[in-house]
Order: sequence, then structure tokens, then C-alpha cells
Amino acid sequence: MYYLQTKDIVKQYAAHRALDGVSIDVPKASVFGLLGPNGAGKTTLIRIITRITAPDSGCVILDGRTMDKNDVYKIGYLPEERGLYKKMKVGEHALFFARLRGMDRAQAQAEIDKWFQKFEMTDWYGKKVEELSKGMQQKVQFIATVIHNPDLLIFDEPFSGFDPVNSELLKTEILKLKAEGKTIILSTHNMESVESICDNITLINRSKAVLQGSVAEIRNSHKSGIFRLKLQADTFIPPADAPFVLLSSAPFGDGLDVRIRKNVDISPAELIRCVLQTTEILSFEEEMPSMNDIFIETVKTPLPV
Amino acid sequence: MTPLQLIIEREYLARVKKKSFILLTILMPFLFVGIALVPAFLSMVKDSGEKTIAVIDKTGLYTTELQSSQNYRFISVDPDSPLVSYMMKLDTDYFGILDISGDLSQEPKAVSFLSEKQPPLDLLSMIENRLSEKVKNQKLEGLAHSGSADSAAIAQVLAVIDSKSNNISVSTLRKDKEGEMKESSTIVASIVGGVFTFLIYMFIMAYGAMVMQAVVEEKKNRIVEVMVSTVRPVNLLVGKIIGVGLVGMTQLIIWGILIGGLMSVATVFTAAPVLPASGAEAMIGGADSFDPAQTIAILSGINWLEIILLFFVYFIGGYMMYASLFAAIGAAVDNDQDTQQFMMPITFIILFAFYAGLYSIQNPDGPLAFWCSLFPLSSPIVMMVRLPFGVPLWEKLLSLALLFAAFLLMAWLAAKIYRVGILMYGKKPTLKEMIRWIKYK
Repeated sequence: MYYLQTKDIVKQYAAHRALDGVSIDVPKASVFGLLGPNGAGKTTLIRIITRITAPDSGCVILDGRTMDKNDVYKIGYLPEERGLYKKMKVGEHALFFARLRGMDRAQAQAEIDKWFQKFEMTDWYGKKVEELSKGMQQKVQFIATVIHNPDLLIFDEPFSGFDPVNSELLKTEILKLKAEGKTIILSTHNMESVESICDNITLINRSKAVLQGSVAEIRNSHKSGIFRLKLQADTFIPPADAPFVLLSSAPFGDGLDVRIRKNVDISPAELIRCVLQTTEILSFEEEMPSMNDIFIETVKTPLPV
Repeated sequence: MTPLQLIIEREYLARVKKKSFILLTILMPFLFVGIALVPAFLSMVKDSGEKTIAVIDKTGLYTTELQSSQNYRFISVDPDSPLVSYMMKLDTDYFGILDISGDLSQEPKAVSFLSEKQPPLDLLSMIENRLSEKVKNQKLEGLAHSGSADSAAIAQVLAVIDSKSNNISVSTLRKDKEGEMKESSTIVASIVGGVFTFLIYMFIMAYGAMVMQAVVEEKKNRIVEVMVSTVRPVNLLVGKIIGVGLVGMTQLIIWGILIGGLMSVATVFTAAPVLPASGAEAMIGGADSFDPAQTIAILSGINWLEIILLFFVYFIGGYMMYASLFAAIGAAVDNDQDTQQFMMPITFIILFAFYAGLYSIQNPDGPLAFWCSLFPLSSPIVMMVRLPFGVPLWEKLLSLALLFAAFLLMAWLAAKIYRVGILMYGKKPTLKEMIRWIKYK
């Protein structure tokens, strides 16, 4: 069951086509990564989903029906470029956002107290926004995004500006939201976090969706047959007719750390057998391509015309 | 509360709670009243030159009433010579000519004052006081000759004493350089018009610019994207304009009340004999000629209700129109520096309107005043000048209709530009690009 779908979205800005027939399918209660180089059209797509701009053609389907204007209350959006009213008090600010999204005062207040406690910032309630550090402001923004308990959350670069401790806190919160059944779209350049929290991704490049699927599948399909082995040996010289190529080798403790690429026509088991003929193997693992490599590889591939 | 109401509330409270706003709102009236009172005091002190006024009294009844004072010398001249022969001597021999052409108890309007310069208020009030006194006596005498003083006659006497028809109002005529005679306004009407014009000009500029600043600030702050993901941009725009406008109104109303209060306190203060008679009296010269009661009487002759009501209507229309324009500019640019280029033409138009207003004070029914009080970009400012002098109803209605039509058009255009502009960063757009934004879906 998809919570959110876009169908053939096209958006033209004067001479520039920002989106060219982009369709995405976001399953319910999952974390969906929206990737792409700068200027690829991610922000435009998000703005169309959040109804900030309208597409030239195509449609957005939310929970099985075409989205209408009241659905904005079901969305919590944390833009990449985000700010707060500097002169407002932190608590008033959170309250303002909550009420703007359709909550009544008492209800909003209760939610705010809960979140402020969770993020350990009750002391900051009466302080002016301009007195906060950047990380603190980020927390307020995060609270403002989730305060009205939306079903769809869109985070654009949520980790930028957070220290590792707060990044971890944020990651935990995102996964908690997912466990509560919320659908989350994460647009980020931080590939490590994509690997650790995204279930599915779409990679947009030059206004088109060029790569889509679950993170595990994509990584599997991008395997390039590289293995990392730890060997009990001082040197490792593969025989000339070996069905693999030695990429690098470096001393490791009293052993050797090597990377090899196997030929396509042999299985990993055959590779192990082949290496074992000359050397003892301490460990063996297939190197999964990182999302980072996949990203770079996909983006660099010229589009078929 | 709807999102629009919430935005208005936030914009309003954020500004009204500021210390600078509170200070300015409370202190300005004191400054105003100070500035207004200092010249009044100074005018009591200065003016050493004696002014000669020729009195043409065709009835011969009033000449004796007009006793020369320290500042003014009244000389009776031959009423049979043509008026023109005296007008030749205006500004050389005579400061002014007081022309009484009939019995004022019968025709209260048979008196006029001719001068090249605007006659001082104290001179007019002195003439009016003395003539009124004489007319009252004339009427009482007439009553006395009519028969015995029975109870009915006493009631009539009382009526005469109270009657406003005793109050002689001198219509002032001014001779301008071409020698043409035109009926000129009273000074008070000009001052009232001028004050309201200045107020409307100042508030449109200050609060229009405040809207622009707020839009730029939101854009620079990057809060705008968070906002427009929940509220429609047009609500954000309208909420901001209304919120800031209400701040302006609040300030105006507080100023109105404070200035009114302070002025009446000051009037009581100046009217009371604060200075001991002896030396001080000589020092301030014709202190009796600054008659606050008289000024108040003149002020109360103006149709305040209409002026104040229309002031707010024009303020709302003019402010909303200009604020929309300012908001569109704010949305189109990224920073305060870039606003300058787009603001120039608008500042130019407002300044033009302001000067047109100032010139219209001298000629409130001339073509400049007429056209500028209809043209929506200048009408809120120029119409204020004309109102105290009386404006035909159809002109007011047409002017307001045009103004509000223009406001709706501007707001619509501004909303279109705003919607696109607030999310555009980087290059400063050209006018052509902004026009293209209007067509975006």
C-alpha cells in the first residue's frame, strides 16, 4: 500500500524543465530517500507534494486519492532552507506553528510540553529564538514540523548543522515515527544516513527519476564482484591464470589485507577455493557498494538520449 | 482561528509588544504638541511692526468699534471711492482692507477682508469679536425700541445674547500676483488639511516600508518556506499587510487621543492667566490676541466626523495599495540593498503625491488638486488637503471607487509576484521576469 504517489509530474520554469515526468511511490510506514545532485529537481518535487507550487501536469495521490488543499495539515515539512522568527519566544513560536496547522491552544500546549521534555529544552521555553544556538534552533524547527502529528513527514537535509549526538537523536526520532506508522520522505546528500535509515529511494538526476527501488535491492544489483580478504601470509602473489584480479594489498597485524575482483564467470565459493590453494584465509567478505558509489556512478552516467 | 487570523495576530502582537513601538507611540504626541505650541508662543512675542488696515464702512456704524491696538491701526477711509483705488495701495500703504458693505445685523455676510498676504488669525478674531459685540448691541437696541420689556421680550433678549447669528465671520479675500481675487481658505482649514496629508503620507511610507522589510526579513530568514507549506502565500501576504496596518491604526488612534488630550490641557494652560500682569504683559505684547477659545471655535466649525472617517477610509485604501506594491518588491529581492532600485519609482510617485498635496493647499479646487485627488496613486494624500474645504460628493465617491479598484488590482498582482518571488533566491529578477511570474500557475 502506497501512502504517497506522484504520477508523471512535469514542471517547467521558463526555459528550464525542473521535473520531467517524475513518478514516485512511497510505501506507508517507511522511510523514503529522495536523492539527487544539487539542482536535480528534488526541492521542486517536494514543493509540489507540499502544494507550495502546482505541477504543469501530473498529479499527487495521497492515501489512495488525489490530494486536496486540506491535506497540507497531514504533512509536516522541514525545508532545507529553514528559519524562525528571531524575535519570538521559543515557546510562543512552537505554539504559533502548532495552531497554524489546525491545533487548538490546549492541545498544542500539551504536545509542546511533551516534545520540549523529550529534547531537554524546557529551560529554553521563554527565551527568544535569537538567543538559541544553531543546533537548538534546529530542534525547535524539528518540533514545529512534527507537532501536529502529521502522517507524512518530509525532511530536507535534516542532519545539516547537527552535532553527532543530536544527529543520532534525530535518527532515532525518525525511526520512532516510522514505527508509529508515519511515512517519511528524506531528502539528503548524506549517503551514510540513507544506508542506515531509508527503505526505498528514488534518485533524481537532471529532472528525471533515474534510479528507484529498495536500498537493499539497489545495492545488490550494483555489486561489482569485489571481495575483501584477510590472509595469513606475508605476501600474496596470485598465479597468472587466477580467475581474479588483485586490486590492492596492505599489511595488517601479522597478516595481509587484500582486495580482489573476481571474474564474472566464477562463484564466490570457487574464488575462496582458488585462494585457499596458496594461502590461509582469516576472513572473507563481499564488498557491498556504498550508496555513495552508486550515487556517483549513476549521476556520472550520461542519460540515454 | 483561521490561519489568516493567526498570522494577523502574530504580525500585530510582534510589533505592538516591541519597546521601540511603545516608546515612539507615547513620546511622539508630546513632541508634536511641543512643536505646535512653540510657534504659538513665539507668535505672541514677535511681530513688532504695526499694520495699517483701511476700513471702508458704508454704514458708518462700525468704524468706532475698531479701535487701533498695539499691532494694528485701523483707519477709516472714504467709502465712496472705488475699492480698486485702495487695492492699488495694498502691501504698500495698507496691510489689508476691511470692507463693510451693509448693516451686519441684517446681512451678517456683508463684511470681507482683503489682503495680499494671508491675514493673521489674531487680527481676524479681533475684528470678528468686535463686530459681533456691536451686532449684539445693535440687536438688543432694536429690541429695546420695539416696545415694553415684557416677559416675551426678555426671552427674546436671551435668545439674542445666545444666538450664533451674532457671530460675524469675516470672509477673507486674497489678491494674488495677477491681481485676481480669490476667496482663500481660512488658515485653520489649510492646517487641518496639511496635517492629515502629512499623516497619511508618513504612515503610508513608514508602514508600507515596514511590510516590505518584513517580507524581505522572512525571505532572508528562510522562514517563508516553512510558512507557505501550511498557509497559502496569499494569506501570508494579506495577513502581513493587515497585521502591520492594524499596528499603524493603533498608533494613529493612540496619537489622536494623546494629542487631543495634551492639546486641551495645553489650551487650558495658555488660557489661564499664568503670567503676572505687570512686566510680563508688556513682554509678550498682544497676548490677548492669541485667543485659544477663538481657535477652538474655528476648529469646531470643521466637519471632523467626515474628515476623520474619510481619513481612515483613505488610509486603508492607500496603505493597502502601497503595501501590496511594497510587499511585491520585498518578495522579488533577496536583501535590503536590492530593494532600493525597485523602491525608487514608488517613492517618486508618493513624493509627487505629497508635493501635489502641499501645492493643493493653496489651490484646493484647481486642476492639479482635482486630478490628483482622483488618481488612485495620489488620491489618499491629496484628497486630505481638499476635505476641510469641502469636496462634492460625487468626487469623493469616484475617488474612493478608483482607489479601491486600484487597491484590488495591486493586491492581485502583488499576490502573484509574491507567491513566486518568496521562493526565488539568487539573481535579482528583471521587470520582465516579474511579469512572467504573474502568469505562472
